[in-house]
Amino acid sequence: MAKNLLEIRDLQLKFYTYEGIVEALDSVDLDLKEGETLGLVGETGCGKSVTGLSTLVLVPSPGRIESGHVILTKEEDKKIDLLKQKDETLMKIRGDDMSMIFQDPRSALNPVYTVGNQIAEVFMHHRLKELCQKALDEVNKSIASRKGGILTRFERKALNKMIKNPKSISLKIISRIPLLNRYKRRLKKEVKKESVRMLREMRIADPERVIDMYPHELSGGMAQRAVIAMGLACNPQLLIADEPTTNLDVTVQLQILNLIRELKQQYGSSILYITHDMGVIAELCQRVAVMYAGNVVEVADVLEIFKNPLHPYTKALLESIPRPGKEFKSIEGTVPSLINPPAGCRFHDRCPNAIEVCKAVKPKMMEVKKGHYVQCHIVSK
Amino acid sequence: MSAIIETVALKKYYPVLGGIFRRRVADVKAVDNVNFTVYRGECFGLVGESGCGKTTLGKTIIRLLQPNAGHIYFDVPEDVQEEIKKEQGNPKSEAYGRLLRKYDIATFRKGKLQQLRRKMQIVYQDPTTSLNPRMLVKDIIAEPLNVQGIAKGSEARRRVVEVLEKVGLTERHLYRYPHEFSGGQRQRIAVARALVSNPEFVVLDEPTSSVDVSVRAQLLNLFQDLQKDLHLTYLFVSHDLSVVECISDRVAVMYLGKIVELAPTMELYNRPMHPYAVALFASIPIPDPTVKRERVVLAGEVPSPINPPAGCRFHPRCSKVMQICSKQEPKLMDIGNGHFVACHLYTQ
Amino acid sequence: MEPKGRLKEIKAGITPTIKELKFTISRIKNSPLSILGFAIIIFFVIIAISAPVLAPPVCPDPFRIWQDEFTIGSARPPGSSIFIDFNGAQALKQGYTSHIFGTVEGMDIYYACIWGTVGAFRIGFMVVVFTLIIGLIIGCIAGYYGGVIDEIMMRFTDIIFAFPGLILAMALVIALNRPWDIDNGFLALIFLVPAAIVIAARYGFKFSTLWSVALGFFGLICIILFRNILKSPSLLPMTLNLTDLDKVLIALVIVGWPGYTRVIRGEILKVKQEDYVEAAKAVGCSDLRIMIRHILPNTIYPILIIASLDIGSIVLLAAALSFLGIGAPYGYADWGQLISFSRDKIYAGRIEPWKYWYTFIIPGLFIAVFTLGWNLLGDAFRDILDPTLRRK
Repeated sequence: MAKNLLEIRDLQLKFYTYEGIVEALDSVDLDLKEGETLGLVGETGCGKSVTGLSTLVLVPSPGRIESGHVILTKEEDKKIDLLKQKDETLMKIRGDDMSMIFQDPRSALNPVYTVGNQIAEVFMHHRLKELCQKALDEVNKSIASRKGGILTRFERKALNKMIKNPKSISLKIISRIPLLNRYKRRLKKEVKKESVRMLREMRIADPERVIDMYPHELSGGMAQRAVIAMGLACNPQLLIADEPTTNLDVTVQLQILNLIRELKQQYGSSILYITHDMGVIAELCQRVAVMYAGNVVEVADVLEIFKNPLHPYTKALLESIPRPGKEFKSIEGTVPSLINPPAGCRFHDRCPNAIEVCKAVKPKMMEVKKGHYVQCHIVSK
Repeated sequence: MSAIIETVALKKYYPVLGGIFRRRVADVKAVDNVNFTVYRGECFGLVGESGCGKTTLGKTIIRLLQPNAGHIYFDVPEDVQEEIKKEQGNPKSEAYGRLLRKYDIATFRKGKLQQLRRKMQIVYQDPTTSLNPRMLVKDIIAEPLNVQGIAKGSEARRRVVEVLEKVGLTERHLYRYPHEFSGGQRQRIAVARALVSNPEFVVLDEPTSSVDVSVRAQLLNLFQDLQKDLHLTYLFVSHDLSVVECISDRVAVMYLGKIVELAPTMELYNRPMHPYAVALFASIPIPDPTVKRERVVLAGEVPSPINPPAGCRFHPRCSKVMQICSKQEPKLMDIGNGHFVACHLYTQ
Repeated sequence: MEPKGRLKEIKAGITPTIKELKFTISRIKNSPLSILGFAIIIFFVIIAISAPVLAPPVCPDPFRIWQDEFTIGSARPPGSSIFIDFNGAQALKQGYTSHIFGTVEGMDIYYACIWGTVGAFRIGFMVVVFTLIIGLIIGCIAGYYGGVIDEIMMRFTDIIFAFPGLILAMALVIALNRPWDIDNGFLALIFLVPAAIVIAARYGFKFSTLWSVALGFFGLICIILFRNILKSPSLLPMTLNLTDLDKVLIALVIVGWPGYTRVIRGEILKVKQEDYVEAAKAVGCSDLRIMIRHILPNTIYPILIIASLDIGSIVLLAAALSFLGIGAPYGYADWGQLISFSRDKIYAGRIEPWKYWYTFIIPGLFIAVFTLGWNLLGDAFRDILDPTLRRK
C-alpha cells in the first residue's frame, strides 16, 4: 500500500474582495500517493488552480487560507504541515521538494532573462553547496596539474568559504573586485553544465543554443519544456502541473505529455496534474479527483471514473464531452457565485436528482467502493 | 448545392519590415494559394495548429483583410460561374474584367464592401475582448443596424430584442455592460451582434475555445439551432479537433498557409490520408482510458511561415517523405468521395 | 402606459452607469489621500464660487486688486488698517475692515488671493481644454492611421517637446508681444496643412519612411522659398491684439499639447489592436465612428488623469510667468504677481529676515496647496479609474 506523499485536510480558502468574500475552497480533502499521477479536474472557477497554489502556500492576496492542513511527507517519513511553516522553510521546500509548472509558458518565464539564466537561478538557490563542491574539484584538479597560479588558489579559498557560509560579508566584498571574483566564473560554468544537462533531458535537440535564448524567441512547446526543466531541476518529490498543455497546439501537447510521462518514470516524482480536459486525464493520470465550486466531489481510479462515475456532476461532465453523431448535452444552469454559495451541497440547484437534504446539509466524503470516494447524499445512502 | 464562397488562388501575405528605412524585406505567407468552396447551408470546418493561417483565411474571406492576390466569389449564380471559368482563359479580356469587378469581392472597395458586410459576419474567439467594455449590450447589438442603415430607433430596438431572444438571453440584459455577464453569455451577445443584420455567411473564429466544457455544449447547440432556423452557412475555424468533428459537415486541414486535406467529416476523421492530418488526428487525447491508440508523435516544431520549406511544406517533418517532396509542391487533388489531398503519395 | 414605459426605460438606461458611479465613489472613500485631494479642490472651488461674497470687488474690474497709492513700494503687515484714499473709501463701503493678510505694493493680499483662485481655475481649465482638444485630434489621427502621418506628427511633437517648458513659454509670450498680423503663411499652416494630412490619412497613403523623410525636406524647402509670396497680400487681413492673458494662454497651450498627444497616441495604439475595434470594422463602421465610439471611450481615462495632474502644473507655470513679469498685467489678481512684488522683500536683512513673510508665504501657500490638491486628485483618479486595478 503506497503511502501518502501529500495530504490536504479540510482546506478552507477565502478571497476578500470588494464584492464580498469569495469562498473559494470549502473543506477540501485530497490525498496524493507516492509515485502516482493524480488528476484534478474541474471547470473554470472550481478552485483547482488555487488548490495547487495553496499546496505551495503561494495564494495571492486578497486570498487567505483560513484553516486546514497541507501535510507533506518528506524522506524518512517525516511529516510537516506546510501551512504552519515559516517563510524560510517554505522557500527551501519550494523548488526543491515540490515545484510547480504553469499554464502559459511565456508568462511563467521572465522575458528579460535568458532561459539558461532562469534555470540557473533554481540551481543557485537550492544546490549551491553541491555546485561549489564541483567547482572546487575543478579548481583542485587544475592546481594539481600545475596549471593554476595565485589566483586559482584564491578561487579555492573563496569556494571553500562559499560552501561554509554563502552569506558572509567578505564574500560579498570579494565578489565585487574584478580579478578576485573569478571563482564566480567557475561556478557559473558548473551551473551552465547542469542547465544544459536539464535541457537535454527535456529532449531539446540543441540545448547549448537554446540556453542563451530569450523566452520570446522560443515557440510554445520549447518554452514549456524550459519551464518543466525549471520545475524538475532539483528532482522534486512532487510536481504540480497547472494546465501546462492548455495553451499549446495539439501535436505539441502530445509531445509534452509524452515527455512528462517519460520524465516521471525517470525521476520518480509524483504529479498533481490540474486540467479541465478529460482526454488528457485519460491519457496521463492514474487517479482522478473531480472538483466543483470549491469542493472535491469525487475521487477514484481513472478507469473507474470513466466507466462508473457516481457523482451527478461527474456524470454530467462526461456526458457533455462533444461526441460526433450524438446531440450535445450540456449541464443546466451556471456555476453558482462563490460569494454567497448555496447552502448544503453546492451542486444541488443543477442536480437532476436533488432531494431535500441536499439543499440543507453538506454531504460528507464517503468511500462508496474500494478507492472510490464520493461526496453526495444520494450515492452514500 | 450552390456554392456560397469560392476562393481561387487566394493569397494573403503580411510584410515584414526591416532595415533602416523599414522596407519590406520578407513576407509572412499566412495564406498561400488557397482554393476551396463552401456550399450554402453547410458548416465548413477549418482546422490546423497555431500559425497555419486559418484565422487569416477566415478574415480574408469576409474581407476584413485585403488579399494580396486571388479571387473570392461570394454567392455567384451558376451561369455566371460558367462564364467566369470560360473567360479565365483570356484574363486580359474586357468581359473578364467586368465580371471580376462585379462578382469578385477581392476587388471590392468602400461602397460595395459596406453592402457586403451585411451578408457576411464574424464571431470572435474571446468575447471579453471582442465586445467594447464601455458600451451597453443594447448598443453593441444595435450597432450593425445603425451603421448600415437597416433600422433605427424603435424598429432597431425590436430587432435587437428579437435576436437576443434567439440566442437565449432576455430583454433584461439590454441595459448592462459586458463584464457583468459570464463567458458563455458574452459569447452569445457576440453571436447576437453577428446575426442582427441577417447575414448569410458567418465565420466562427474559435468561438468555443475560451469557454468551459459545459458551456461549450450549450453554444454548439445554439449554433446548430441558429443554422437551421436562419439558413446560415458557417465557416468554423478551430484548433479543437473534437469540437469540429461534431459540428462540421466538411473539414479542411491547413498547414503553413495551405490546405493539405479536405473531406467530409466522417471520411476525414476515419481515413485521414495526408501524413500531417494523420499525425494531427492521432494526437487528439481521447477521453477514454481503455482505448489505446497508436501514437504518431510529430517531431520538431512548425517552421516559420516567412521561409517555408521548398516543395511540400510538410516534407521536413514527414515520416513518408520522398525525393519529389522537396522539389515540387503537391496540388490539392480529388481522390473520390469529395476527398481532396495535397500529397505526392496519392497523386502518382 | 406610454409615459410609464418611457420612465422605466430611462431608469434602466441609467442604472448601469449609476452602479459604476457608486463603485467609483466607494473606491474614493477607501483612500485617505484621495479624500484629501478632493477636499482641497472642493475648498478652492468654494472660495472661487463665493469670491464676490468673500471679497467684494472694489474696482470696476473685479480682477483689479484695489490698491493704496500712498504705500506703493512698501508692504504692510496683516491687520493693518485701511488708509482712506479713493480705493480705501470704496473698500470700507464694501465691508472691509482691515487688511486681513496685509498689503504688498499697496495691494490687498487677501483680495488678490481670493480672486487669484478664480483666475487660477480660469487659466487652468481653459489651457487644459485647448490642449486636450489639440492633443486629441492630433493624437487620434497619428495613432489611428499610423504610417507616414504618424511619423510627421510625432516628429513635430518631438520638436516642441524638446524645448524646456518654462523657457519656451517665456519666449512665446515675448514673441507674441506685438500685434499679430495674420498672413497667408499662417493661414496655410493652420488650415491647409492639417486638411492635407487628414485627407491623406483618409485615403491611406502608404509611403515608407524613406518617402516621409523626402517629403519633409521638400515641404521645408517649399516653405522657405515661398515665404515671401505667402506674406502678401493676405486673404484674411486681420490684426490680432492679444491681451496679456491671451498671450499666456497661447503660450501654455503650445507648450502643453505635446504631452497629451503622446499619451493619447500610446493609448490608441494599445486599443487599436483589440478585437472589438476589428469587430466594429467587420460591422461596417466608418473610421470616424470607430474613433469616436470605440477607441476614445476606452482611452479617455489616462487622459483625464493627466489632465487633472496638469491643471496643477499649468497654474504653477502661469504663476512662474507672472513672477517673471511677463504674465498677468500690472494689478491683475494673480498669485504669481503677488510674489513678484515681494521679490526684493523676501530677505529683508540680517536683523529681521522674516519681516515681510506675509508677502510671499501666503500667496505661495495658495499656489502650493492648489497644486497639491490637483496632484492628489490626479493620483486618486489613476488609482480609481485604472481598469486593471479597479476590480481588485
